[in-house]
Amino acid sequence: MKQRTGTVQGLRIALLILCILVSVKAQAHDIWIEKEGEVYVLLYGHTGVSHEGVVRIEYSPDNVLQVECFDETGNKFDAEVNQVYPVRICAECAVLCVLTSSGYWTKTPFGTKNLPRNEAISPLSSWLSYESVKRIDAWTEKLSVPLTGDLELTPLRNPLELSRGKKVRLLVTLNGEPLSSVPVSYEGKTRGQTDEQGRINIRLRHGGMQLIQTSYTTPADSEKADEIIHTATLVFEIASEK
Amino acid sequence: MHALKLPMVSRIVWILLLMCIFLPGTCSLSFAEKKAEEKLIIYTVNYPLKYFAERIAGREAQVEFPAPPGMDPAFWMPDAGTIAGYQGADLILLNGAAYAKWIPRVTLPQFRQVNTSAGFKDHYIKIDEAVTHSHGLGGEHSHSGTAFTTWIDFSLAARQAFTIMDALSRKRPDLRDTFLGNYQVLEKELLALDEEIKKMVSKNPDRPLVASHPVYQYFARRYGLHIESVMWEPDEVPTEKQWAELRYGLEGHPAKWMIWEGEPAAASVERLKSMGVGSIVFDPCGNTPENGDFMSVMRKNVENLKPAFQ
Repeated sequence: MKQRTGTVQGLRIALLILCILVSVKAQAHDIWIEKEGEVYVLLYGHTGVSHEGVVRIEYSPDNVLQVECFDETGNKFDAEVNQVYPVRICAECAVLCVLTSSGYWTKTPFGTKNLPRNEAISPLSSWLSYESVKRIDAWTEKLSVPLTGDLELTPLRNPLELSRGKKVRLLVTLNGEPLSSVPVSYEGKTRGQTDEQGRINIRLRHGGMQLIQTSYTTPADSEKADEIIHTATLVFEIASEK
Repeated sequence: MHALKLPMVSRIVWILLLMCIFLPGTCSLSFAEKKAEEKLIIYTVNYPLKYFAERIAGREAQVEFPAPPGMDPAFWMPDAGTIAGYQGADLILLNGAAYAKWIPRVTLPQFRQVNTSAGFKDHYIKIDEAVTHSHGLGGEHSHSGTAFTTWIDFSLAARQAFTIMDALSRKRPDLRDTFLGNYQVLEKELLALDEEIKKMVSKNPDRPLVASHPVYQYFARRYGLHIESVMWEPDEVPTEKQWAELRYGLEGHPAKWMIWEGEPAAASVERLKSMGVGSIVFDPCGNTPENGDFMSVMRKNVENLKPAFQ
């Protein structure tokens, strides 16, 4: 019995180490928008850019709170949204911004529950999660300013004409205001933090689809959560390497 | 000499050939008969399915569950030789519900796979509490998934056993009655356990319980149990932080019993006792038990649970 117990313990420890290694490598989930012909598809999981292999995780279409489509002059117009998984958006946008939320999360001694703090048993900490994603498919100078009030990554120059090895200059904002000292990641790794004007340069290390992410926490001031975690993703494509 | 013997040999060959043509069965069995005489080779992804298949197929099948002892089959990764064994089986019995994480990573013959829980896949339990992990950007994400310990809801176990019976009968229609008879005996035993637990829980249905691991979701749903889970290992004494968290957790969920997957460390049992919490072992039995079989382990589990509802 003891020998078996030892084996089980050994295997579990090995599994735990493996899980830790995988989670360190895999880090967070991605949210991104792909274009299939004239239709945009909102996806969640791992893009395969920063992780091994593409993994799509099903999400509730109810998580999608807002879809905003902008033309090249920065004017917003209506887009047709198909509210089933995976959410599809039918429109021709220069920039498409989607805001999602998986709601309230509370860490308890019995695991992390998808519940607000005031509904969870013995809450330890809690947060409200917002994830926004912005895809750029066309460019004019008018798009070099924040388009939404959400946490947003805005290229200050045309990112679509960049190539591998070039740097994209970005502005990070919340409610349109620049955020300083905010970490920004690329290929799943933090590459630096914004300066006092909320700006940062990120070197593009591969061709094809680019995913740049940032996260910012604000106090929630509510019985439902201690804080609000905002996460933003910028998606655009550059020429693939030959 | 040779010239004399050859006609004799060819005459014998001719006689044998004629016997084969006019008296089938005298030479060899037809392909179908040969197939029918051979035992079905069945591979399973966990021990409960092996047990069900053996009970239903009896002597008509050779059932293999090659995971090494002590390993949790849900997270086991077989080596290439073992995968080849699965690939060569007549039937591959899967648990479904995202069990056996290795299955999507290998190529197995599609038409020989049987998802034994497919009949109730709409009733899989989605885990939206899951484990969170921090990442480079300071936020936290939750990995959601599907609970997979389906067979400790004994009504679901019976449905999984029925699917096995059905799959075996498709392979060997001539033995359908045998398989059905064996299944009915097994079903009766599983449903007797189901009834016994329902009756036991009805004495004290609101009693809060704590589980050492989040593996009792289907069990809790079926029998209406109020179980909250920590992430403790039976053979490891929890850290002070884990004890402190449990103490805090018990303020909101005042459980008097902790359910363990395996025999807990004596020090854990003592410390829990000092907090007014008793320890119970309910082994989900995903892997082959050291002693007894699935049914005897489950009967012991039910016995172990009784004090919690008295």
